[in-house]
Amino acid sequence: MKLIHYFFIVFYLFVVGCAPRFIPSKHTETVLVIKSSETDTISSIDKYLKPFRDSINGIMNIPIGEAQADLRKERPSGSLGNMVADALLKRAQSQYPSTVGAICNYGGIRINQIPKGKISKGKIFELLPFENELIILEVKGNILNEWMQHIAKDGGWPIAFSSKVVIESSKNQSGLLDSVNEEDGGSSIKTRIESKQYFNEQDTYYIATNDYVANGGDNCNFLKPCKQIKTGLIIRDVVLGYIQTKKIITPDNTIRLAIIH
Amino acid sequence: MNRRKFIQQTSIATSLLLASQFPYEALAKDDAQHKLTILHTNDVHSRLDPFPMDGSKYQGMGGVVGREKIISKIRQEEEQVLLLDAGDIFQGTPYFNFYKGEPEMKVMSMLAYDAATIGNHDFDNGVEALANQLQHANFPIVNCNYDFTNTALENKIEPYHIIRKGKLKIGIIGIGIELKGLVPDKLFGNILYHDPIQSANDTAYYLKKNKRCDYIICLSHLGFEYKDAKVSDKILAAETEYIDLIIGGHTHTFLDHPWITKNKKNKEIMVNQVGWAGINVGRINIYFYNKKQYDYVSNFTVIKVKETSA
Repeated sequence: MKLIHYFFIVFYLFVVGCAPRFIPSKHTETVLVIKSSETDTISSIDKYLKPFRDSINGIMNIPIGEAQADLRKERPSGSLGNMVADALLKRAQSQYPSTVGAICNYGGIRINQIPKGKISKGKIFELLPFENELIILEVKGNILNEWMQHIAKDGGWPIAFSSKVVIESSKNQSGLLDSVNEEDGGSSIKTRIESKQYFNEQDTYYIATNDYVANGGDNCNFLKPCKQIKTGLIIRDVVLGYIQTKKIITPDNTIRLAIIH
Repeated sequence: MNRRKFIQQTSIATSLLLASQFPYEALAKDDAQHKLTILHTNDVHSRLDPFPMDGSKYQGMGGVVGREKIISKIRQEEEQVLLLDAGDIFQGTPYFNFYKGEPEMKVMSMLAYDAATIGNHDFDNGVEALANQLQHANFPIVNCNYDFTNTALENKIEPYHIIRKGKLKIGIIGIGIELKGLVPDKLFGNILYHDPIQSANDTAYYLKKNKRCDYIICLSHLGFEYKDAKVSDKILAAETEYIDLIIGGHTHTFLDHPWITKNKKNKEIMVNQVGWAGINVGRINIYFYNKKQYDYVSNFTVIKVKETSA
């Protein structure tokens, strides 16, 4: 064995020269497989967790609806985010009919997919674990444009509007939206719905979102001055109610957001 | 000829070594004076049980039962083991919605974590709630760039923690992400954020020069990297002087092996992060030839629960 070591040493000595401190290892990955049948008995940790787990599972394993196909979290838009935004918009409109759209932060969607099949209550707790309130935000067009630029810069957030939202920017060398902003003071970026109707800088729009974003979260400081219409509803409950009412969720894979440079 | 010298001379070709079957670990083992095994997790997000078996990407993966199994196995095999976490312990499963963090803290205590830092989501129920949950933690929580003066966390979170492992003195510091814009103002209250690079360097300098630590680990919740200039573990690593290893979190980055760069003193420093949710447990074995020179070997364990029909 040692002879083999020295053979390799001599071989490497010919190939290499300098001397850093680390010898990085070959990547190794170990998969530890635990049979679920043994997990109940093996440890004191499991004994400690069992009453918590049983209590949670009793509530969380209840099916509330069914996904006809996988719902996925994607950018610029995806079926999972689309469903959440639809649920927020529908509920907001039922309370405040002037609501024209819903915007949810991408980071607020906490799982990558809801797989085809039964949707449990627990799955929606994983999807939306935060105790965030549904807020209807009174947003001036210029602020909404700024919001859209922020969303474009971030790669896209879940949205629901009457149709596709297009965030336009003029051509620029770097291809980066924010660099255009700095040069042109943001004037070269416009946001429109469909092909014609731009968000008018002076008009007021009512947008459903969560209180985290409305209070400036996810770097949305510019939303802080906007008037908030509080609903007292937790967005998770809104989505739970949406699925319970619809029973069958058909994924909407429509690309709802386009970012044009 | 000195075998150690050979190892140094041969170690340029990371890719060569990565691609080869060279028995570097066996060689390292022979000469090492001390060995330290660092196990680490990050962004576990209340994932105490494995992901449910519902056809999703990570179904059956993770869970503290599996984590305990791998950790206790390694503790039996190795003499000097550190178990660390880089924050975002809370939020993500109904355990947190219903029990507010107590099971997470108690389970980490039962797993005998040596230290952890806090992430932005650990503030999700506010500063007081986090301070209240710390009564269930029997391990130190470290952070050196948040000022907790006049908050419920004052004196409950330490800037650093020193652990002796055999003859080695290990300094552990913690670094947190800027909370403004990320965590609602009312949840983090009066906590002041200080420059992470300056704070990390000042604390590491103190641990190296005044406390004579042999090895310094930074538990960071800054995130591995960003498209823009936002401070990240990659940026921090290049700006450090006395930190040997950064265990990162926040960006949920699955690294196959530690990322390595040169620090301000032109010495190598490594950054590691193992995704999120306790799917993987990271492991870095450090072989010390003396208190200044060392090699490392890394791997990780993927925890999987297999459903049995019986």
